[in-house]
Amino acid sequence: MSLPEVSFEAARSLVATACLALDEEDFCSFLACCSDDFHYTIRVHSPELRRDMTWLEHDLAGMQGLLEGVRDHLRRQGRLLRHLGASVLVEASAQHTVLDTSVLVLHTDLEGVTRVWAAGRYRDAVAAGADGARLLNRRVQLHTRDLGTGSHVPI
Amino acid sequence: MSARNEAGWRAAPALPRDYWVPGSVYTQPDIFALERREIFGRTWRFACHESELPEPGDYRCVEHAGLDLFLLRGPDGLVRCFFNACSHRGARLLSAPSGNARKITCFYHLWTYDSRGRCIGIPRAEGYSRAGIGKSQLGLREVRCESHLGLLFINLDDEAPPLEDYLDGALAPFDSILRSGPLEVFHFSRTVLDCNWKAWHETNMDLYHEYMHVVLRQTQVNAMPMEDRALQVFANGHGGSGRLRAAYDGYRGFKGRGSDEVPPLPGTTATEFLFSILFSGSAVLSRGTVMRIDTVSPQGPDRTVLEMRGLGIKGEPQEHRRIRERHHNQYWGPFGRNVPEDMLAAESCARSFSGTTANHQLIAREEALTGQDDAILRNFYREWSRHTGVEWDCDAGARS
Ligand code: FES
Ligand SMILES: [Fe+2]
Repeated sequence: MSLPEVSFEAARSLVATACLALDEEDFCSFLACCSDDFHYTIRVHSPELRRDMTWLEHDLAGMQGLLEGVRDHLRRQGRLLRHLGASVLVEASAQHTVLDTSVLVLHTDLEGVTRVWAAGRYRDAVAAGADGARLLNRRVQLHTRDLGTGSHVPI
Repeated sequence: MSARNEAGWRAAPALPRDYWVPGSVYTQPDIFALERREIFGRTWRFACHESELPEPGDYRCVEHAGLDLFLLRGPDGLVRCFFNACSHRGARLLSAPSGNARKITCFYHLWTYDSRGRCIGIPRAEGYSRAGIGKSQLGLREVRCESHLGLLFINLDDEAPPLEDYLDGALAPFDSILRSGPLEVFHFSRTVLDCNWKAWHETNMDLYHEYMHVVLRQTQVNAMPMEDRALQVFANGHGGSGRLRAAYDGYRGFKGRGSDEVPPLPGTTATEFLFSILFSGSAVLSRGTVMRIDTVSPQGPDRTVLEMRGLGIKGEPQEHRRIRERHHNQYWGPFGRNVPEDMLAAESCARSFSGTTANHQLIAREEALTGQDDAILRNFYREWSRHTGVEWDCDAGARS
């Protein structure tokens, strides 16, 4: 029996839940949104090199290791907020539902000053798992290339 | 032992001049103007790698000393560098960071230049005949450009000594990598940092700050005896280190990196860490499987453009490249465990100096060119003073 298709609404809701978890640095909840086969990449096009670059790539175990280590590091202080724009349905099948969602990441510093830090787009593939929808794949296509002092936490 | 009062805090340290640096060198506009003229106007500076313009007609725009320049590979295969400004009314000729152009036509009044910078076309040129102006006098400003094993350097000083004399062997640790065959830039990022250019460059010269980085505490500090490290200082302010080692298994996320998951760059090993510091603001580093080149372009005393490149082997299998990218990103990418921390450190010190909360910094560690000796920093600042004429001693701050 094939697993049920994930609806657009359910997929969008999972994307939002995953973002809130990352915003809160609740990495357990974020990882709970991901399937065992999860794959994550951040891609950026370089007009200087005239090619695409990969700035981060992990499977679920890699992502787990990355996130578990975050708290040990010297990091920019303040907090990030991922603001989701509209989502469009790219593909829907019994295997997965694929959404494109524009995202702005805002940084608020310890003085309370907020600035746009990054702009880009998520391409998320969401699949049905035994206990609900899970992220199978997230590809972040970043438009912003100057990320200032960078980030220890993915987008 | 006690905290200091204002006089104690502000007093120049009672140390030889080599052992400290006054904060004014990071903040004073007149010192910055001197640096522009006497350092960035006269010394060789890494511009880009030859793989960024592989084909005839390929160009690459760069910023240097407040100037817009571009490098262009001619049909003869040679790369030349020019000011990116039209001889007519100064319009910027090339606006994309890179591209291909067999000839360059200015968008404004359509003056045209060839790959040697010669003006080869002026619409209705007869209109200039009364003024006695012709194409032959209207070429672009060419800037000296020389290659060291594929690394392209530029120099605004037409009279400067050749690049190889200037390097004085400082890139020798990278010879076998650079001679082994073509490399390719796969990572490029440009970041504007709120700090003086030297504050960034210091993060590459200062080994003592290994303690700041969790990954270096866990993979590098104890990977070999401190006294077995061999730091080097060269003429013209360059420095470097051969043969540091890393034990990558010490950091959870890096397990397996030291093994043979991808061939190391030729002439090095997966666990070797090499770096060469080039005066004024470039650094070449390799971590066994991957190479990085940094370059700074200062825009003001407290604003610096930092360009970072990651390099692998040109034409290598996709699965190797992917691992090399991962290795690069683990330390040096914008989401990495190393470079973002260095950026925070550079901006943190800059903040203290720009508000004059801090007065000077100490570069007084002496470890006979082992361990975490500050010798590379001292060598840098000696050369810096030689160019700028700015000196200091314990009776006064900086003076030029
Ligand atoms: S400014 Fe370039 S042709 Fe006039
Ligand atoms: Fe560092």
